[in-house]
Amino acid sequence: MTTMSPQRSVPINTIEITEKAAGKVTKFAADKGMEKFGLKVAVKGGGCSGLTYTLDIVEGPDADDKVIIQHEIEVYVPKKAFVFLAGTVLDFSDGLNGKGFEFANPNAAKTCGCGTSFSV
Amino acid sequence: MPQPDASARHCENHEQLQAPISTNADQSQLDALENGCGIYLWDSATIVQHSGPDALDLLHRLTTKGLLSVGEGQSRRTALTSDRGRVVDVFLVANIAENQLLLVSDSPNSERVVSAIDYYTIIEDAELTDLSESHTRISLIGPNARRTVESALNTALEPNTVVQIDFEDAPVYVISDTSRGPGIEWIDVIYGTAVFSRLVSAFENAGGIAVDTHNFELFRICNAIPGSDREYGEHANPIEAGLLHLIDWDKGCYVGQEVIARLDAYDKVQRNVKVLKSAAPLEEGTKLTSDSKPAGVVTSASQLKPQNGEYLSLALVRKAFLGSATVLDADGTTATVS
Repeated sequence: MTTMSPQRSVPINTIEITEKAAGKVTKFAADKGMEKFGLKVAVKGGGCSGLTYTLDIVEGPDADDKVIIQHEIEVYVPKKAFVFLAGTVLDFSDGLNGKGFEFANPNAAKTCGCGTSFSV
Repeated sequence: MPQPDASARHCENHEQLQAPISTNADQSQLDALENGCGIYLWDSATIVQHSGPDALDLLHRLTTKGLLSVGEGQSRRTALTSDRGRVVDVFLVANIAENQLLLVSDSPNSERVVSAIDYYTIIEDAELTDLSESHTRISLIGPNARRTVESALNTALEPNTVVQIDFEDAPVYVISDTSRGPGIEWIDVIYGTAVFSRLVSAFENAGGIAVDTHNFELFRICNAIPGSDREYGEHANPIEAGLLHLIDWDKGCYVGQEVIARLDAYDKVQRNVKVLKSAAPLEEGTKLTSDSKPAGVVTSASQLKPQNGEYLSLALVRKAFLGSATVLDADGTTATVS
């Protein structure tokens, strides 16, 4: 999971998951034998820059999650984490130089060298 | 943790414990700190309860020390740094019960650590409760500190552990801290204000001697123990502030880790904490020079005259002037690096 520079603007009241990232999530869920699933995207304290992205495939949303549907994937974002993620694009980069899931977060003022944490 | 009545507050307590202040160092108080057991009452300190199943894991991810191995009944001191690698606060993490931590720092500003940890509490199941107003802290310092506590409270205390004792039906937390310096025995006692005077009497009856702020500060300076908002704070990184021993280099990421690792790896630390000796007392904040070149800043200064006549201060001294016996100018007063 890494951070990249935002390449296009996304409305600040949502986050966007690209078709490629959605396909990868669907594949991972299928590998785990999950028929009903969603992608939990959140932020937790920690990492060199203070805030770290977390991704998890879960069966359903928690009570305080914001639910966003894109490319037939349900994305769940805890409301307290959403303020750090609004406007973010989640992409997937593969191949020899691929970095896996990548976040383009317009709120990130600084990211650490490995790209897994950021500050706002 | 029960919340006692905070009506009897620190100031009143402090007056009871404080010994009279003189311009000369009190040798009996210094002897207690160096060779016996000094009892120091903090006028204000940060005491915070951090509870919830994610509390310890969160602090492990945020701070410089590995904390996942701090089991129930154990304690460890750690530093919270900013993403720029500057010290936000330094605190003891005492694991007092399942999912219950007690955080104790020397800072009188509890809001600082509470707001910093709260900022990073996003999806974690963890809650902060500031007990600084309702609880009080005593530190017992000296080679006999543990013996004094064990005798007064009739309990055994191992290094880097925390025990809860019922003292006159009030819970008292006793925390051993071996991180203050080589060979320095330091025990923190946290309690509801109501039992203050009887608790102090118990320690005095077991051989402890009350120490005032001035003599405590002289002891701290003499032993180069970094102080909150003096040697460490938002103006300093933990390496230059004398907190190197609180950094676990192999624990993985924490806030500020990348900056701190780079400072160390590329030898970029520009200054260090040093004890200064001078014939006259220095003032905190005084800039140090050598041949008109900036050489550092005085961060703590004792106004007490020690027996040998040399006043002691702590300073953040620039790298080029760290050598023992280096002579610096402190606004007209000669200061020698010890």
